[in-house]
Amino acid sequence: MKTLLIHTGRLVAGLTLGLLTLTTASANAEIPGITGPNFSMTTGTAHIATPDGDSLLIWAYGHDSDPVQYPGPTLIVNQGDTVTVTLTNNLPEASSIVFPGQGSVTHDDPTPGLLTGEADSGGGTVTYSFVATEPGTYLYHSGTRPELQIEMGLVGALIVRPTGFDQNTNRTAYGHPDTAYDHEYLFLLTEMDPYIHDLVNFGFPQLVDNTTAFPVFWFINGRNGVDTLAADYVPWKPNQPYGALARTRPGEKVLIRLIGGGRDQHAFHAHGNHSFIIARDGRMVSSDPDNPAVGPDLSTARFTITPAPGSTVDALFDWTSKGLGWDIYGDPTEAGFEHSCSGAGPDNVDPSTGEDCDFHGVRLDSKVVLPGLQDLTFGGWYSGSPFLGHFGQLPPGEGGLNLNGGLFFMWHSHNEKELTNFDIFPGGMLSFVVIEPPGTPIP
Amino acid sequence: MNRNTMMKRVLAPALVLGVAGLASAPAVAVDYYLCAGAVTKTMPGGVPVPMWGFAQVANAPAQVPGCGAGATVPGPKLLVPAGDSLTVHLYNDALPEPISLVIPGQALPDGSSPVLIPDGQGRERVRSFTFETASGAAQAYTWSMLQPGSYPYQSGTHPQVQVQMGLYGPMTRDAAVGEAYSGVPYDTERDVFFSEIDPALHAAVHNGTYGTTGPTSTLEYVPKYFLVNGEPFEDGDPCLGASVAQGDRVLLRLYNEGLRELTPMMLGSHFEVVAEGGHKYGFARKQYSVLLPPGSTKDVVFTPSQGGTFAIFDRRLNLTNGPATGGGFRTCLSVDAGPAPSKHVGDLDGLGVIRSAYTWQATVRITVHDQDHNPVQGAIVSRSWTPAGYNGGPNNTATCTTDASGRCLLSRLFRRAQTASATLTVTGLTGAGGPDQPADNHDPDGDSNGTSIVVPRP
Repeated sequence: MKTLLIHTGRLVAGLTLGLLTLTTASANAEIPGITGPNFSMTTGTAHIATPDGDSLLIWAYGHDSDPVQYPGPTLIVNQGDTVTVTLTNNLPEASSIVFPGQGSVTHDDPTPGLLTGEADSGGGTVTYSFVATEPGTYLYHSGTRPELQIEMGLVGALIVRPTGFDQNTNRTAYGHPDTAYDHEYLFLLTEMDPYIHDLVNFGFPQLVDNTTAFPVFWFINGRNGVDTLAADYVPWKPNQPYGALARTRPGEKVLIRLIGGGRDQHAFHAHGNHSFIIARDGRMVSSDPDNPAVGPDLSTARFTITPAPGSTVDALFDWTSKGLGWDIYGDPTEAGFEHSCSGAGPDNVDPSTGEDCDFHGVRLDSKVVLPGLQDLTFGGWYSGSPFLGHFGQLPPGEGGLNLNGGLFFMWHSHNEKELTNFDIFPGGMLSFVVIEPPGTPIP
Repeated sequence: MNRNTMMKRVLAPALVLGVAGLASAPAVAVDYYLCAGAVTKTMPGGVPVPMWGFAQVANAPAQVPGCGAGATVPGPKLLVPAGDSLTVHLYNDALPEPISLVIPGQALPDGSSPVLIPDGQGRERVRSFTFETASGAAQAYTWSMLQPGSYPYQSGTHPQVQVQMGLYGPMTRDAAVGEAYSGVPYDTERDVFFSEIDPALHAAVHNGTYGTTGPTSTLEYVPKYFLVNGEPFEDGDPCLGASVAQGDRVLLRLYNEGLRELTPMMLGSHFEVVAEGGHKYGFARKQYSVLLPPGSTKDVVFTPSQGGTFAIFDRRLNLTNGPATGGGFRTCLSVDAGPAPSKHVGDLDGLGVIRSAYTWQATVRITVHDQDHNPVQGAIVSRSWTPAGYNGGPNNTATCTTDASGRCLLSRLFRRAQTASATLTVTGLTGAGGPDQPADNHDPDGDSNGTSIVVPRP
């Protein structure tokens, strides 16, 4: 194997330095969104392109004069804020917002609809107000004709930061230290039935029969795989600004904010490790939920999390090479890749590199016989080397999408048909977590 | 509901003996008489749907042909008092198939054994989970050992047809009076029973084409109507029963006898999910929605902290009546707005002390309550004294302002020789809290009427 390795000079050397000296993480991934507590929201129509070549009419929320977007803007507020949302409705029918999990939501509509106050079509407005009393992950969506309007795209995320939160010094989901994290990512799961969108697009909304809805498009954060891997706010997705690619470094904690935004359940399956479920519906899973000091003491470790429609789940994921059986950083004596291992705790994992010291220096080729290149097919995310931070020889035209020698683990719906875009694989609810070498800048 | 309470009183000692001695069937049973028959339910838009349901018949065995005409979907609630067993006397009022009763989550009825029929290839296939009640016949189904909790009851015969046709209902048995499960008390309860109708399947069963030229299974199941407690929502429908009071523990028993999972969601509050399938969770879970798989139950306790209407609807978006919007799995719970804020005197206590050779001092401690009898801080108490008395001494002011415990003091000097007793009358409450409600003035220890108190000379 070693003979296949290509030492690619400065880049790898720089990464190696990162291995040897614990670098203070220069930044941490933060969910993109708009901060409150006062929001000027809109509804409007747009078309989104799906990777199979289709184009779907959507109804979506927007912010101020920004384009409407799917999902709606992620609203980020602080615990205790009095949140005010003014909605201006540019859709052809009345619309609204409900905030599941928020108490005492008031509105100024004298003639409310079945679930809440509504904004009339053609520029009508309605203002909602509530106090975000509890931190957590929530969603918002239309409360008007929800079976059509949520399907059309009127759904978004609401994040309430706990009291004392600081993105640089005190990143927690719920204020309790057991909910602390290094990186946070949103995974808002939805689906669409293009037939319904076409009926609305062609002017026949009255022909929509919700009882026969049959989704064939599946979205994470409003994008189908593999658009999910593109960065946030890429210009070619003007109405789908949010990506879904998670990146972390060994041993760091990833907060997964998972939302069932659509009508169906989706089995969110995170490769790489189990995750600890710390909260559901914006409340820590606790033996004493009225006492926040207890923390998420009923956490359970899962590798597949299936949020019910309309519910939210928070989970903590981390990755180390614990139990892998070989040295994740390769030969410790190899020039340019020298590394040591200082295990800590019962797991004997080096806290700065995530290496399992029980297997420090264990050669991969002592465990398996790796196939020759001629026997492999390659994905764009394979660096050519199984070792973190290394690059290896690849056939011409292969690889190239893994800039740091990271390890890619697929995060996806395990309802396998949801890995397609209208029957075309790969697609749907498909994304990855990238375990980047220590010191890699994130984001 | 025809429960023989006399029988319970007489036989209760025998039950204790039975439990202490050997595992005999409890002698205390609640009896229900159910009559299964065909009815037609009318869906919004005037769509008639043939259904099968249960009618509850008072008193004696319900073997009266035609009694099934009063059947409802879901069937009547089988409410089993804590500690009792259950016997259902079932009469099959001319349904075209034999029927039976099972309660998923409970043991099969006493003496159960499956009913087998040969299929077209001579193989034995199960048609019923328990013994059957043939068309026109009656049977008694007894559950002598019942677990507490919320359960659906349903037909145990040909269930893929008979459950869909409507042979189901709620059954509950509390662990103790006012306690659904050990450690889960409640003040009031509501059943929220979800079920679905696929009219094509009902029509095929009704006209005899099911299994022949019509559908042969629920493979092509497409429900069009979504029922809460037997009714699809229509605008203007009332909420679940009477409104409840703030602070009450409202037990919502959620049942799903449809064929697909649902996610009932409540807007405006979290609640505590306390049990699933009749089994209490170790710790209640705070959620605003629950996943409710087919055939399952979940119990949630909602303790409203504010008044208003709390919408409950299916977040899987089964929110139409046929294709028409504004219907489906929706309901609500009304919570009283609570009494308007007000304040009143909650206690008057008086004390007389000798101040000098010539004077004595009357002192009254006034406690001010709000509408919920909680202390009001910052309320200003005005008074008059009879006789008028003299200035001097502490707290000798025309008004006093209540502290954090809702209390303040007023006092007055009187001439020892001439005044045997003095009367303080509260003439008004102002300041913090709502408006004064003198009609609510009271005194728990009975030494005054809450408005005036007589303080005797010591």
